[in-house]
Formats: sequence, C-alpha cells, structure tokens
Amino acid sequence: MFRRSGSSFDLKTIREYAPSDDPRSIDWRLLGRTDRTYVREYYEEETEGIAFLVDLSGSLSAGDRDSYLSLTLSLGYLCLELGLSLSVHGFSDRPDTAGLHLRGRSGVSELAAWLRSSEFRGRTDITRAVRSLRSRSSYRRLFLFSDFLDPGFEARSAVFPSVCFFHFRSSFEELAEGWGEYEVLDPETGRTILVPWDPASRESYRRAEEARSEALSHPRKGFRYYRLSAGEDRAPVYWRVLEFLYG
Amino acid sequence: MADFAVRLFLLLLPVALLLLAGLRLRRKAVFPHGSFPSARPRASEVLLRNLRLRYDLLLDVLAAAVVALALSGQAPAGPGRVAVVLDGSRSMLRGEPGSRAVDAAVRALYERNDLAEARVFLLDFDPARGAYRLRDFSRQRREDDPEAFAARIAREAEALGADWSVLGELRNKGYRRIVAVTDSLPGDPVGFEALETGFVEAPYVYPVSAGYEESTKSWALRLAVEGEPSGLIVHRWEDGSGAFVRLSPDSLDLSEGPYGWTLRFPRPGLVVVSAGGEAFPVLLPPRPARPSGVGSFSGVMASVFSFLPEREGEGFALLDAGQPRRGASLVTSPGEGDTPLIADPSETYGGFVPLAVPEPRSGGIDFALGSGGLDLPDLPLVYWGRIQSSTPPPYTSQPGRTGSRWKPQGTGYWRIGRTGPEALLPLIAEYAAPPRLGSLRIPDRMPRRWPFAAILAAIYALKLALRRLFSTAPSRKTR
Repeated sequence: MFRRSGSSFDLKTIREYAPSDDPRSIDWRLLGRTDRTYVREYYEEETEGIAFLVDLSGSLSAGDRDSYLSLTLSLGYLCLELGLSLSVHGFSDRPDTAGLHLRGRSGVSELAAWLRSSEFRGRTDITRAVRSLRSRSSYRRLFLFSDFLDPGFEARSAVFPSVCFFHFRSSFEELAEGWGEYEVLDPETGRTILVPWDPASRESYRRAEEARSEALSHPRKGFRYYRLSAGEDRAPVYWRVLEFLYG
Repeated sequence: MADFAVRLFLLLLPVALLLLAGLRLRRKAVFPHGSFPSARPRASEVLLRNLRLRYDLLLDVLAAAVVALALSGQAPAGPGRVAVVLDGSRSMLRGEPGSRAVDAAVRALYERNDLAEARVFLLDFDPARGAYRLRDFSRQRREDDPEAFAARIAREAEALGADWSVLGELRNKGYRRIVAVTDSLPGDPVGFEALETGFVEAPYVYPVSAGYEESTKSWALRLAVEGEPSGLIVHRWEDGSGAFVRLSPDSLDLSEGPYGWTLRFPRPGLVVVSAGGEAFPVLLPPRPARPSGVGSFSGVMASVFSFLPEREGEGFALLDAGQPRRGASLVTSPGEGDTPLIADPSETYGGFVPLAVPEPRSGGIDFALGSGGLDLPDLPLVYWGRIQSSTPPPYTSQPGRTGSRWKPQGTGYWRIGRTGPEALLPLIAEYAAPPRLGSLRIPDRMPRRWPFAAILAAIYALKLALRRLFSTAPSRKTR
C-alpha cells in the first residue's frame, strides 16, 4: 500500500530531492544548512478525502445486510489504508448530520463499530441526504452506498464533482421459491401487496431493474456506477475503485 | 338436472381444492415494493394478473362443466318445463276445415289449462333437408285464437308423416314433460304423454304399385281407392319442357276393380294424379333392361329374361361365384348339398328355396343356392325380384334415406335425383287408421359427443396458448 502526498500544511516527511520532484517543494533552508537538496512532503488537504454516504433505510434490511455492510467496510478500509480521510454519514429519510470522521488505520475499527451498530429503518431519501452532505462537507468525492430504491432520486442531483454509486442489489428472484402469489411486506412502509410471480412478472421485474441501473450508470461525467449483489466477487470493483482514485 | 349438478359438484371438488390450496399456501416475503415495476397496477392489469394466475383454474372449471354435461348426457333442464308437440302429418290435415284432426287437436290444446304455459312445437317435414323437424309455434299459439291457430298450422305445416323419435331432441333440451297432440298414435306412448283426438276418415286415392305390365304392354299404376273420389286429373312430367303437362281425359286408360283403379300409360315417367281434391306424384319406373349372365349357371338364368329389352350399358348382371362384380349384380354360388337353410320367403314370392352354406373362402356371394333349389320351377322369380329392385321405386315414404331438396306437389313431394325423377309420399297410415301395435318410445338418443369433444379441445388449446403467452416473454440477461 502507498499513501498519496498532498499539499496541506500537515508535514508528512522530508526526503532528498529527486529529478521528478517539483522544485517548489525544495526546502531551501535545509539546503542552506546542509548543502544538500531536500524536499518536504505534506499530507493531502481535507478536500481530497472521501465522503461515504451509507443508506440505512429499511429496504436494505430485506437483503443480505452483512454483505452490504462488509462491502461498505471493505471500501472504507481501502481508502483509509491509502491514507485518505473519510467522512461517513448514514441516511434514510433523514440525513445523519453528525457523521463519523476517520483517518488512518484506527479508523477501520471505528467504521466497523459504527456499521455494526447501525439500524436499518425509515424510507429512502437520497436527494435530501446528498444535498445535506454537500452543504456541510468540503470533500469533492462521494461514495454513495444504497439500493437506490428511491423513486424521487435522480442521479444528476448528486452534486459532488466526483461520485461513485455502489448499487447493492437484492433480487426477488433469489428470494422467491417457485411461481405463485406472494404476500410481500415492504420493510419501509409496512404495507403488504400481493405479487403474482410468474415468468411474465419476472420479465417485468428484470426490465424494471435494468431500467433503474441504466438511469444510474451514465448520468454525467465524473460518475462511476458499480452494481453488486450479495455473494458476488468484489475484486473487480476494488480494482475499478483504485483506478477511479488514481486513474 | 340433479344428475348434472351432482357430477359437476364432484368434478369441481378437485378444482376447488386446488384453489383453496393455492390461497392457503400463498407465500410471504419481506421485500421493498420499489423493486416491482408497478405496485399499484391499473384495474386492467389486475384483471390480466388474475387471469395469468387463475386461467388454469378457470379453464378447469369450464372443462369440468363440459365433462359433467357430457356425462349426464343432456343440457341442464329447468324444472317443470313442458313441451307440446302438435302432429303436422298428412292425416291431421285431411278433411274439411273445422272437422279436420288438426282442428280438434288445437281445440284440445287450448282447453287444457295445464298446457297453457307449455311451449308448442309443430312436428312436420322439412323438404329442404329431407328430414322431420320441430318448429316452435309458442308465440303464434299465444297470439292466435284456436281457429286462427289451426288455420295457421294447416297453412304452414309441410305435411308428410310423423317421426316421433325427434321428440328425443326435446328431452335432451331439458323438457321434463312432453305431450304429443295427434289424431292417433300407432302404439302406446312410453316416456311421453299423448293427447289423441281420433282418426278422421276421409276418401282417398293412394298408389299401390306402378310398373310395366307384360300382358298389356303398358305401364300400370294401381290405386287403392276409399270412398268415391271424383275428378281424376293426370299430369305428366315432360323433360323437354321441364313442366307438368296435363293429359287429356280422353287419353286416360282407367279401369276399375274391386280393390281400386288401374291407370295404364303407354310410357314410363313421373305423373301427378289428382282425385278427390288431392294430388300426389308417382313414378312409373322404366322397364328393366335385359340382364347379362356370366358363368354357366348365371348365363342360363339370364336367358330366362330374354323377353326384356336390351339396352346398352344398362341391365342387371347375374354372375357365378368367382366372377368379377360390376355395378348392380347378383352373385350366385350354385351349391351341391342341401342344408336346413332357406331363402327369405319375402324375396322368393313365398317359395321355399333351399340354400347352401357359402364356402368361407368364397367371399362376396349374395346367393348360395342349394342343390334342391335347381329343381324349383319358380326359382327365376327370385332373380326377377332382384332385377325389379334394380329399377327406381314408384315412390318412397322414408325421407331420411332419400336425400334433400324436395318440391311439394299435392300431398307428396318430388325432385329430379341422380337417376331421374323421384317421388315422396306419406305412408298409407296417413290415410287409413293404423293398427295400434306395441308401444311407442322416445328413443334414448345417443348424446352427441363431438360438440363436447370440440369444446374440450378448444378449452385445452386455449390453455396451451395462454400458457405459451404467459410463460415465454422475451428473456433478457441481467448484468
């Protein structure tokens, strides 16, 4: 693992000058005292951190919660190991204004504890959560973890310059045991509806899923979209996240 | 009806169990509704969804009903349905208006209070189809008084005979009580009621036989005559003009005997005889052509009929066993030994003709003659009968065997068939009171199975089509 150097006033290290280094980073005083050329490296400024917005609405309680939480935690770990600071906020129908500010390896255990103690309830209001976070955060990058079951949400309304959508998807196909009628309880609203589950319904369901993914995947430049299901191999996602961070 | 209900109930039991099981075993799940394309569908979508899920059961219910109908052999019947069948045969219309059997029948019908609400059908002949039919006259019965109704029946009925077996159709349609209103039934009714008004006697002329008479070298039409009918008029069908042409009264060769009249004609053809105000068509069949004989025995037998005219391409074929059969023919196997078997006396003019047992391998034999038969002097009569039967009959009284598209002519019907003119007349029982023999039973009609089979096939075709429609939506791969 490596850490990316930034331009804050938080000194990271002093090392000998290399030809590829920016001459503006040469420590002239040290050059005067030692007659050798050194450069100063600083930690990245806070704007280079990442805001994690984690959906904690009731709809995510229906799927594999552990898989969802471990996805969030693993990406948090990845960022913290890279030396990036994280600002983690949960949301459902109301945003979590306090949040969690993490840096360094010690942040991983804090993030794990926070995720473990999170409760999934309430409806999903992504737009409100994103706007609230944007107004309070100086970070330019947003990692949004959600099932995106918010009919009022438009991907373009995620007003961060750089956004990654992590679409954690639970499939009714995996839940359903054969064709027939299902009494389906919505964990967010508490309403029950009768769902006829047959091949034609399954096709409609798949088409709706495709349409939702399509709307999320190409909203504008600077967006990334990753769709994951429980049990799916995450390695490709990690690599693509690294590309996103350093590409 | 009760039978149908019981069968339907039993057949619906498994369907109902499936329905209940389906409702009882409805599965439950916790899942966000936002995943489903339309959590609040329109009414039409609900209907389609329900159809998608329930079409199997719906079609099973339909199939059960059809099977129950087929098993019970009848349509569901309403309790207390009564049908009155008014006889529209020739005997009902004979006589003077007011004294005809139909007048008495209609009066009896109107006097019966228990038949006031019954549906009234007229049983008459359908010349177009060549079959007996039942026509609903309930509305006319309600609207007309008895005299007007009797006059309507007399005017509209296509009178021939009465085939009471068609009453089985009413039974199949669910009529519990069937009352036949007629002048006289030929037997005691079983399975239906009869309101008989009595046979009305009236003068008549009826053809007994028609054919070539060797002794007079002419065609003789013998007529049974009852009473003193007057005004004999004869028309002949002329192929050239395509019309009936009246024969001059002076040219008619009429002789009277103790049994009736004999009319003689110089040539065959279709004639219409009118006497006593009634007319009927009758065919004078052509003289049989000389038969051909193939084989030693049949050749000799054919020579007996050498007096018959020889006509190219016509003629009955008398064949010995083993000869190839062609057209109208009689294949004889001259036997050697006698057996206890004899020929049907009705075909041998009352003679006892010994028969032999045909050899099992000699198929296609019409007549296995015993050796004793060869000594019979009247043996040629057997062959004469067969030769005569190869000519068209003067008339027929069984419309079901003769085809359709009959034209009314007096009290009978006629048409030009494949072999020439044909005549259709009522049975003699329509003119002379028939003896009452045995019983008359509405036949247990064989329920038509093909409509049920067709409906079941349609239901299951629909089932397959719906299954295909609802199961094979275009598939897409998910990412």
